[in-house]
Amino acid sequence: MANRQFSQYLLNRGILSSDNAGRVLAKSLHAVPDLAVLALEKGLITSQQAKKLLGVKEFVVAALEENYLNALQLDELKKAVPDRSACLGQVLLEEGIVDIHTLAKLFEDSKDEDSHPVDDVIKEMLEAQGWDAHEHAYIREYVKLFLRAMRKFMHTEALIIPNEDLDLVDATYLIYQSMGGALRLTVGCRMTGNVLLAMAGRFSGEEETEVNEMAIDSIEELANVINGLYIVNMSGHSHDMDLDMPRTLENGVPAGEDVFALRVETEFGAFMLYLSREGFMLNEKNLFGW
Amino acid sequence: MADKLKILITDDSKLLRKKLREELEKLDCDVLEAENGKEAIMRDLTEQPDGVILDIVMPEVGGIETLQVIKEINPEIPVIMLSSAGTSQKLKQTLELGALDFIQKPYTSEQIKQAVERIRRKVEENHGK
Repeated sequence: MANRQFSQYLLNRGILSSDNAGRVLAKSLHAVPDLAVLALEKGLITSQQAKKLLGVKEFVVAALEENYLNALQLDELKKAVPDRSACLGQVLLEEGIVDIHTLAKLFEDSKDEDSHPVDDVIKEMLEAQGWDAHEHAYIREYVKLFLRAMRKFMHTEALIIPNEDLDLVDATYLIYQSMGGALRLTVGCRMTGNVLLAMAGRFSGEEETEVNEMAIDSIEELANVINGLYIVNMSGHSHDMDLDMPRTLENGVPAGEDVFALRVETEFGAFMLYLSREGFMLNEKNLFGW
Repeated sequence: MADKLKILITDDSKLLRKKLREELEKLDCDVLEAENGKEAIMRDLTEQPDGVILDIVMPEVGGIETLQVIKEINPEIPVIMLSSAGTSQKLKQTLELGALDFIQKPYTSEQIKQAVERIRRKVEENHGK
């Protein structure tokens, strides 16, 4: 569903950037969309109508009086759980990044069946590196699955910021896992302790306050689950793959000629995602042991 | 057989063992834990659980080898695989080795409830023989 990649669509269109994406995503987590934004996102009203209704206290009365919405639509609107797109739209308006007319166009265009924002950005990045997008289709498939998993298990909107590294000055952790068999692939995430704790906590459902054995165990199990879904998906395409044990390194940075790096922005912070067919070149002395 | 099922969880993840223990205790099971295949085999020999829930990707002795050994020791013991590595090949291989079922991680409470029911039915069948 194209609309679930609304944040990536906004980035690709230049509405979001590395400067504002983190702030907008974090703010969208607690955003309560105006009923006019919700109605606009669902395509129930036009941008002109939304402009008239935006911020109106007696929304229901106004919408009925103006004959913009009927009672049934209003009832459904009030009961609806706002999706991420509406929350993001609300923040874009509040921050003055777009006006209501531009937002209406963005909502509409992002629902186009031909809109594949994640695929588009990965293809662009591959081409920028001189890599053949078809030959590296596994990267596109993995990243799409990874972002879906972020939404499902981390309950966060997540997007790719192309061609930008993260300036990680604090201690970092690299969680990585290799997959072998018909297709070799090593995948890793490099992040600060704070991002690791946020991810571990969201996955385990428990408050994680320090990077200890349990937090590392949780994040490794998350990697295991995501990569498991990938190999199961690949087995459906007649590629039988195996999983190695997930591992964690302190201050490890993946190196190697075929390492493909992406910056992932989420509601709880950014991290780097790395993929390689050949495996990472790493200093094993940094192994995080307990 | 005692009224309560004694289930051995084998997984290297502490988080998984903790969460699964909570699920199984809610279903009125007694729970044993092992963090790798070697420990699982030892606990199977010494504590004779009614059923085993077994991961595949584990250090030292993996889940496939563990399944083989456990089934050699006790061919009738019900074993449910619970793993992220649920490829069609692994599914086929473990079922051929005698696993009762395969649950792909992440599991749901309903899947665990059904797994316990299958273990209970298998244990009752074994006792009826």
